[in-house]
Amino acid sequence: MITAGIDVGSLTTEAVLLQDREILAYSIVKTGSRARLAAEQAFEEVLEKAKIKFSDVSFVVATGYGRMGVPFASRQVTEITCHGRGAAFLSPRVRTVIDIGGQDSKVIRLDEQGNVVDFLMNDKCAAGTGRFLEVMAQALELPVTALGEAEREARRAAEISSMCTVFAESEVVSLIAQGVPRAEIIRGLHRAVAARTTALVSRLGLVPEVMMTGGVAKNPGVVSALSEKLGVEIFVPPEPQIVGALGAALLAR
Amino acid sequence: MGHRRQGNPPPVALIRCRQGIPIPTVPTSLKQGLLLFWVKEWGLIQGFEEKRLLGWVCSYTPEEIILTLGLTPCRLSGTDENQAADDYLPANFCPFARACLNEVLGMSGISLAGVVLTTSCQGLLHLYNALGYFSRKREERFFVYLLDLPRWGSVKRAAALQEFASSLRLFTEELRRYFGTEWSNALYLENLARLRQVRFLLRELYRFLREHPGRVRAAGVLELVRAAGRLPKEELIPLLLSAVRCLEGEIPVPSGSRAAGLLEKLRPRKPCAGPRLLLVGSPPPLSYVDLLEELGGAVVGDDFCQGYRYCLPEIEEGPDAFLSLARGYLERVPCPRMLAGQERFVYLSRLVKEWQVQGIIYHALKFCDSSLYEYTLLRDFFSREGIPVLYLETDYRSGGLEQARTRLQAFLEVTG
Repeated sequence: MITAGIDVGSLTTEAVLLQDREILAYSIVKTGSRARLAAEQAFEEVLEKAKIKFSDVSFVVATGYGRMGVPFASRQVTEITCHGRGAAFLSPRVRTVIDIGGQDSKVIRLDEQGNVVDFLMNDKCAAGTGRFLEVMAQALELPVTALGEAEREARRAAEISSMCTVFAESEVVSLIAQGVPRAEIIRGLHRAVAARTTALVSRLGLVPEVMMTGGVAKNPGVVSALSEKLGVEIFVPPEPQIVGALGAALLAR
Repeated sequence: MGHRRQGNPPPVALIRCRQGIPIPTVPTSLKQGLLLFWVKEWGLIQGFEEKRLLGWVCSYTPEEIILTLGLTPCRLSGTDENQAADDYLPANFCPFARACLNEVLGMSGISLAGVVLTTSCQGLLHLYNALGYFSRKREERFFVYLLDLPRWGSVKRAAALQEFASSLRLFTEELRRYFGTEWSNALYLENLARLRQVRFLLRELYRFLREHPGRVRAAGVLELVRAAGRLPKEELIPLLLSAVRCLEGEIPVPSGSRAAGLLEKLRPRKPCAGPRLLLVGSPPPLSYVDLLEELGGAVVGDDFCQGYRYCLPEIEEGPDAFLSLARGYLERVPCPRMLAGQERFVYLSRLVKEWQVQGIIYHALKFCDSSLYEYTLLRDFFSREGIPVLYLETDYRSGGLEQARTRLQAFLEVTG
């Protein structure tokens, strides 16, 4: 049986095809302003990659903030449950999942069976999320994907005191004006994201092992800053961005 | 009208309030002073007018007293249809108090003769200050009263009881003097009986809700409780009675009647067969309660001051009306502001067992200290009992409903 999971996030949309608990193919596209179109595009792309037809797919589960707008999904499940399921599938020993997406961040606690037992979400503002890093990358004239690499040259971290996206941007602008090296500003930003996330993790309680999912997990600077701050090793799957869609595909039946 | 006395400066606290600066807590002695200032300086020197609606907010305000003095209690539940409160209270302040102020200012004194507040929390204290200032600016007289409410903690309960009884006595005295009406024992007993009936019928509605959660809209029940605090009781009782009997299937729905309109509000929008939920915390925006049911959650009850707790005071007839009232209101399960130790959790835990609750939604209004303090303790208590608790914060409006959708749905997935 082939199942599909589609995760319509605020910045990107992912689709995963699953056959007998094996990933057949996955796709990642930009969400843009129309969630439904992004879902269709991601789904078409993944079908093409796997060289199968829509009719070959038995079930589709939609997740993510745009989950209600996927007409071909047979069920909608929240990204909390999906990230939990996806993480447990990738590594059964994971008890804490930290997911930093484009728009919000979540901490999810799993039990031995991989079921979600508790969670916390920051869904109020973009501080400490992918959107935050995107805005900062823009201010630093870098693509967001280059932030992790660009941090390597830093000898120290610049102090970023504010975690509000708008305020932090003006801090970055003033650091640039002061002539602080770009790499140090970036390290400061990564530490700021880590501090914010650590506060969320502490509220739920840290239980190892810890897995990080979502697009921000692709930034090694954030992962190492967070790992240092939490004092634990953080496991990042090979493609952290598709864990939600993978969970959805696992739940599709 | 020319009722305003010229050249009499408003108290300092009220001037600062208008500029949107948070005001420090007013000490009790000063509070009484301010209160007497309003009543004596503005109330008593002016002629009595035919205005009989008295606004009230806190569930420790005895409607029995208001009714006995010939006034109609009108519970405020706030509105965001206007933003008139912006002139008086800062934006980062209790959204419920702000909404109530919007409501009063929106009425522009057409029907409201005044408002009684309690010293229950910072939100209501500052609402009192703002209303005091508002009343001073008005041409017409407006009764603003602050009812002293002692803490009903785990110690010194006898003293608290006496204190509340005497503050109820003082309240009655001021109402009597301001409105020129007299206390009648016979009328008091009549109102006692009426309110007892209202509360009983509302509890019946709640019983129906927990026995058949999919068959009645929880937000509709909350809406009805809010309305119960402002509708004339003699009209409300037959209306509630026929609504309950219709729901139970004892009588058919009388078409076109007010009861039919009421039942329409109680009609569920979607069947909900998900986990049984108890709602706790500050009064929520009703759209969130509807969203919970839309997502399949079965709301079986609540612990809101504008909800089930309104239906709980049991007042005995007793030789001293004020002592009986004080006892009835204070001995009801305390509100979070009372910081009454474990009492609330033991009570909620009993509800959880009796009502077969599978999850608790804790709603906190933004900037509400009482809820924020209680939430952490409550979460610890129920995590030991194995009952999941979800924290939900709103600004008493429908904004952020879509973010809440994920949070609530995920909670139902975890609980279900």
